[in-house]
Amino acid sequence: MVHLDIASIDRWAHEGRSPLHLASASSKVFMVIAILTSAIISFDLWLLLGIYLTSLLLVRIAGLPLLRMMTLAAYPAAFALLFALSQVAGGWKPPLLILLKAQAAAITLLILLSTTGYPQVFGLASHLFPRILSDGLLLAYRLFFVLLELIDRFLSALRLRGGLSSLRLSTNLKQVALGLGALFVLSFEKSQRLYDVMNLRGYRGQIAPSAHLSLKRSDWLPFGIGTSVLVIAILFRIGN
Amino acid sequence: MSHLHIPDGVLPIWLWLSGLLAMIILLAFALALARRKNLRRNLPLLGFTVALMLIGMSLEIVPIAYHLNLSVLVGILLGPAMAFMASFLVNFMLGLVGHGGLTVVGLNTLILGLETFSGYWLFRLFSRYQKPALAAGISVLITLFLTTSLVISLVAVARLNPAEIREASETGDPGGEGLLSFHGGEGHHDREGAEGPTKYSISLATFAAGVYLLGSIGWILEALVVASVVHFLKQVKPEMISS
Repeated sequence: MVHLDIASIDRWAHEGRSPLHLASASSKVFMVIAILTSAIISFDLWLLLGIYLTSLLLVRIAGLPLLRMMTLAAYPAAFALLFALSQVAGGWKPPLLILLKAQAAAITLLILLSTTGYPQVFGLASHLFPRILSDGLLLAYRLFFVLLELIDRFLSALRLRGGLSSLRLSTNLKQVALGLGALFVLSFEKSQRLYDVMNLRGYRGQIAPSAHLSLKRSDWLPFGIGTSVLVIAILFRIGN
Repeated sequence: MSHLHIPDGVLPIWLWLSGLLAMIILLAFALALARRKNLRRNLPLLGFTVALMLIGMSLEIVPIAYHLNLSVLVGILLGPAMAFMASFLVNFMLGLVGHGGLTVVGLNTLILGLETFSGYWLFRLFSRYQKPALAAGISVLITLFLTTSLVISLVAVARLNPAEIREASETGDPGGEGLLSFHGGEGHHDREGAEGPTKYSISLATFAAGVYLLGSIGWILEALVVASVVHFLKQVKPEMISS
């Protein structure tokens, strides 16, 4: 589920002390783009397997739980599998290529967010998006956890009072709708107050800090891996 | 199915690039429209609705484990311009955590944005003749049918070809088309133009039938939930619906 993913990912990003955690956000974004590009342009099975294994190696270097990361990456892979399975008439290679591409891409993205605090990631995004969108992103991320706690308490209260049942769909629908409705009302009221608070604290159109594109000593790892993977992928394409 | 949970590297490059380009253009347009209505003041509401959409997607309707979308509801509450921005932010965040790819953010934003857009206008139309809750429910059903059809069209347009991928994996040359192909079932033409037997196990019609059948269950559930929420909001905070 999304909320469990985001909470775990957020915790890993802030608790880790691996070389990847210590590297700058810009170098890791470069690494992600390089590996993604390599996965997209590659159609060689062994190369894609190598890219996938590289992403798993990065998970280990980052000190992240390998099985958990593979499970998180399995969600998009499940949908890629739908496409992949329809290709079995074409042999086993096309489905496997699809899965390897999907897995390599998903794990690489997860590594970025699991080793980089969200302010740094969204701060980099502020170089790409209009300021208002990067601020919206930052606010949404913070508010997600606030609202999640509220809805969790609501659902717990419902379960304790017998309001949710594994058999009564109509009751569950009604209760979920009630909870969501209350949450929307609360959000509407809080948003108006939040704007007033932001104004009082001097909000002039920038929340997300602009991440400076500075380099650190530990950036050699993401730059090195990203560049190597990309160069190999390009050479494979040119060679074939 | 109103969200392409397709990871990076599966769809043809021209398709997701076109999606990104279209998204950028529409996003710029939405930003320009929203700025006229004091976008900065609505920034917290934008943040809240993005967070709510993410939470809605994580809520499971037991016992069938359906996940809500809430795009139509967000369209009704925010209006089309801001709701399109919310769609982009939701898909970007989902892409970052591996739920769907980053390269398909454009296509997913277009799909979700279409839901918010059509949901808003259909609600405005139907609420003139019906109670808001019923209008919302009908809007959800029609909107999700439209976007599911769009998803099927996108998948068909992708025209991924396993024969070319097989050839590409042997020679390293992708050939340009993609990975998955749907055909009418009668036959197909290979790259040299000669007709051959249909090799693929799923025809577009079968795929579409399956998606519509399974999707319709979700549409009904979503319509019921959104109608209930709108009914609640109408009673408790009617200015949210009318604004």
